[in-house]
Amino acid sequence: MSDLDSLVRDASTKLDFNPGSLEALREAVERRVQQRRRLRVVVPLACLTLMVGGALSVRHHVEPPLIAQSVSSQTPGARPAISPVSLRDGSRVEPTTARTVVHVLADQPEFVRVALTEGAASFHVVPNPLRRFVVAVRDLEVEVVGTTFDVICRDADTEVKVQAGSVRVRNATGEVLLSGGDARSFAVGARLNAAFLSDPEPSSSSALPNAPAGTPGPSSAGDWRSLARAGKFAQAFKIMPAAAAQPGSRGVEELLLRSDVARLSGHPALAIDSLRAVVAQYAGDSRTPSASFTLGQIYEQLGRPADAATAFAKSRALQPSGPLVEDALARETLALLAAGDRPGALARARQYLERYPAGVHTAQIRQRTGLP
Amino acid sequence: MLPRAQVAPLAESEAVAGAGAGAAVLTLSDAYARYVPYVAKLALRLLGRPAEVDDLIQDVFVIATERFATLRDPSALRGWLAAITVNTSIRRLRRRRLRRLVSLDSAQRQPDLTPFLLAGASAEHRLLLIEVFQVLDRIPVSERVAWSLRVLEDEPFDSVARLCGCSISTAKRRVAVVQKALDEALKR
Repeated sequence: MSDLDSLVRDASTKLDFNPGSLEALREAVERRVQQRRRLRVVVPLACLTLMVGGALSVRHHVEPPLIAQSVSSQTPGARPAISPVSLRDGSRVEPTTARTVVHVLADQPEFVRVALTEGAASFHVVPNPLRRFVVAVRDLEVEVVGTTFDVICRDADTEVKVQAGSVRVRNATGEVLLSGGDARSFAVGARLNAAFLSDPEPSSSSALPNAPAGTPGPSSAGDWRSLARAGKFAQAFKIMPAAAAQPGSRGVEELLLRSDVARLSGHPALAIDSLRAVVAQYAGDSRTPSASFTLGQIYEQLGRPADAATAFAKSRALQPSGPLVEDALARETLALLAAGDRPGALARARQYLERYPAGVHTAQIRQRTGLP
Repeated sequence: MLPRAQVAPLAESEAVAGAGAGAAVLTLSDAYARYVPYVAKLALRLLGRPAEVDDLIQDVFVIATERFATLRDPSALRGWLAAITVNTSIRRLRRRRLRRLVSLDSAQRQPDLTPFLLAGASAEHRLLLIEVFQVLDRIPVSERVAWSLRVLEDEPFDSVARLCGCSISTAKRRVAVVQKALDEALKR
C-alpha cells in the first residue's frame, strides 16, 4: 500500500455518519417495502394500459424533460405571478404571463440551465462569476452575466429586456451583449451580430475598445479592427496579422482588441500574449486589473491552474480595493487547489474567509477547503 | 448448511433469518441495531457524498427486508449487507455518471464533508478527502469501488473480488489503476 493510500485511509477514519433514529429508518423502510409491493401490481397493469393506449394513439408530441414547471394562472402582465421558481443559489424565475412554462434543466452550483418554452418570465439572477446561468428560448441562448431581465416568448420572435446588469444572447449565428435598459426582439433564426449592440461604449473584458489616435482606423471592411468592432471576430481573426516585433509600440487598446478577437473567435490561447503584454507594460492603466483577471480565466480554461492563480493574484495586486478583488481571491484559491498547492490554497482561503465572512464565494471556499 | 430461513407470520421488521435447528435466530431488529452504522460508513466511503447516504441506507434495508428470509446463515449478515450496499452504491454511482453525461450532475460538485468529520480531523484531512472524492468521481465505477473497498474499508483482496464480482487479479488491477490516477492527480 502506498504512502498516499495510508494517508487517505487515515483521513477516511475521521469520517463518520450518524444515520439518525433507527425507528424512523425502520418506519421509512417499511413504508417503501409496502409501496414496492403495491407497485409490483400497479406497474405491470399501467404498462399494459400504456402499451394498448400507445398502439391506438397517433400523438407524436414529445415534451422535453420536465424537472420543474411553473404555470401561472393570472392575467397577462400580472407580476409577480403565482408560482415563481426558486433556484438553489437564490436566483428566481417569475412567470409574467397567463401561461408560462419554465423547465429547470440543471440547477448545480457551477451551472444553471433553464428553458422557457412558453409565455414570459422575469429572471432575477444572483451574481456569481463562478457559475454559468443560461436561459434557453427556442434557438436562442441567453447567458447571464449577473442581472435582472425579462424574456417574452411570442409566436414569431423572442424579446429580451434587461433591467439591470448584462446578458449575452446567442444562437448558431453569433452572439450579442445587452446591457441594463436594453430591450431587443429576436426573430426565430435571426442572425446575431454587433448591429444589435445598443451600447457601443467599450470595456476591456467584454466589449470592444476604441482605437487609439495613433492606430489605424476602421477604414475598410478588410481591416481586422473594423471587423472586430462590428462583432465579426471570426472574420477579424482570419486577417489579423501576427503580433508586431516590437510589442511596446502597440497601445493598450490595440492589445486588448487583439485579445478580444482571439478570445471571441475561439482561440483563447492566442489572447495570452496580448493580455500578458498589457499586464507587463501598462500596470497603471485602469483596465489592466481586468486584463489580468481575464488572463486568469483563460489559463483556467486551458487547464493551467498555476498560471491562473498567478494572474488572479496579479489582478488583486494591481487594484487591491477594486471590484474584482473578491472574485480574484476566490478564483485564486480554487486555482491553487487545482494546481495541487494545498498550503497556498489554504492560506488564500483563510484570507478570503477573514475578509469576506459573508462573501459570494464563502460557502464554496469552505466546502472546497474544509475550513470552518 | 443451515436450513433456509423460516419466515414467521410477523411484521417485516421481525422476520427471522436462519431459524433452523441449532441456528442462531436473528431478526431484522437485530440487523438494524447492529449494522446500520456500518452500512452508513460504508456507503459514505463508497459514495463520497453525505447527502446521498440516508437514501442509500434506506435502499439497502428495503432490499434487505425483502430478501431477509432467504439469508441462510445469520453469521454472514454483515457480509450480506455489505454486498447489498456495494451493489446499491454501484447502481447509484453509475446513475450519477449518466446524469453527468446529460449535465444534470456536475463532476465539479464538491461534497460538504465538514459535518461528518470527527473532532480530531485536521483541515488537511478534510482537503485530502475532498480531493480524493473529486478524483474518484472521474474514475470508472468498478475501479472506484474496488479501490474504496481495499483502501478505505481495508478489505482483503479476496473480499474485494467477491464484493465486486470479479477475480482477485482483476480486483488488484482495478485498485492499481485508481492508485495511479490518485498519485498523478495529487502529485505526491
